[in-house]
Amino acid sequence: MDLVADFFGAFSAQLQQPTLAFLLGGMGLAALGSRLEIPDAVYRFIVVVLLLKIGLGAGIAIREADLLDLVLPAAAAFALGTLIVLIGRVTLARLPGLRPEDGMATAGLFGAVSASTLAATMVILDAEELAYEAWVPALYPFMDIPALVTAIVLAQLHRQKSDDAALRLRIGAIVADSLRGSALSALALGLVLGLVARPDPVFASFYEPLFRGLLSILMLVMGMEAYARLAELRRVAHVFAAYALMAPFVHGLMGFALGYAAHLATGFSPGGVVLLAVMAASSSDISGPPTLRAAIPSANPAAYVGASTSIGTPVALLSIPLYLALADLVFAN
Amino acid sequence: MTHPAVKLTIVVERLLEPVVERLLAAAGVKGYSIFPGGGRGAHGARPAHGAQVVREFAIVKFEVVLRDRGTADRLAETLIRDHLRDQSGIVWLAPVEVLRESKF
Repeated sequence: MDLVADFFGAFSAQLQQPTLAFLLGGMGLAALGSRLEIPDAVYRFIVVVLLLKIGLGAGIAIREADLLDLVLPAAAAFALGTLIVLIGRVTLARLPGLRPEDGMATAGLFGAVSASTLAATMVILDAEELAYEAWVPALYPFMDIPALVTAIVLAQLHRQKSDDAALRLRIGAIVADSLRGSALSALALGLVLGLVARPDPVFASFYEPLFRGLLSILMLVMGMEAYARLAELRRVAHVFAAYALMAPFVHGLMGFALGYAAHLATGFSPGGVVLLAVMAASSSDISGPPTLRAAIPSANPAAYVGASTSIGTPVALLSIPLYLALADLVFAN
Repeated sequence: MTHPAVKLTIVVERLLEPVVERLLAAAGVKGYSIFPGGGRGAHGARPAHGAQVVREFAIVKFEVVLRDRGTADRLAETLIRDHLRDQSGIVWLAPVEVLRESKF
């Protein structure tokens, strides 16, 4: 009972926080047919700055971290990314009246990580003063890439079974393509610069202060996009919407459980557990879709991009208070 | 004094941009132009100026002017057959008059 009360208390408080309020504001504007537009160049600049900041922060932290502490959470992230897609393969992709490739691509996006959701969680954790190891956001690719690779490999295995085409598993190419995407490139660059250079002054004077403000604009864009994609999602099977509604909670709780196991084993911080849970709950919206589109051309993007962007991302963002409440409950004792 | 030629116009998502560029290079075309854009079609609306969350899903228009109608036909057919079955895109040909024949 406490958990439910906690959740609704935290939930209504979070709705008023800038992060979620801007997301809902963007959805509302789009629903009302507003002509407000965030220029594309500004949006792309924001994504680069946010991901550079996340990478730099993590890189600087890893410089002083005990690398052994990273091993278990990184393994958990890898396991979650793979497992989420495998679960989607045997549930969503098996449902009748639905093309298996569409189900596998959708599971791939839900196993992958949303950069915007990750950034939003970092801001919310800072506001809640729930500490996390600054390197936790660097776990992003450890979950993201295995999820996309698993989905693509499963789709190719399925294709081979159905039309006996030559099986071509080019995992290296998929990984390289993911890392070349704008989001992961920026994160990786930040990570390397944070590790080998001394970017601390520019981090403190530019990236850190801009982070919250730029995130609010990104949330506005994500809200508008979520509403726009909803129209496309209506044209595909409703099970995608149902999956997108439930998956963030199931995946988030799996992430929380594995994070908690890492907490018991090596003292992974409560904030880190929440961040891992939200990464598992989130679904890729910026960099995952083009990778899947190129590698699984037969899957219908209206299904997987619609499910991820219009329902998955808002639900994952709105579920953050649940993991905060859960952390309160679990780590209070 | 003008010369008859054919203009091949290809509208595809940015995702296919490298594919089209490779095809054009393989066909030995001397040059082409790429224009970013937006619009509305079978796959919904794409903003022309506002943010497009997935950049690779924004559209671009290729324009290629060729003297040889056969090359244009082959390029259009290859695109439709090999690439636009699963991906969104539009291809069309139009007769044009060019001024400097040697440029094409």
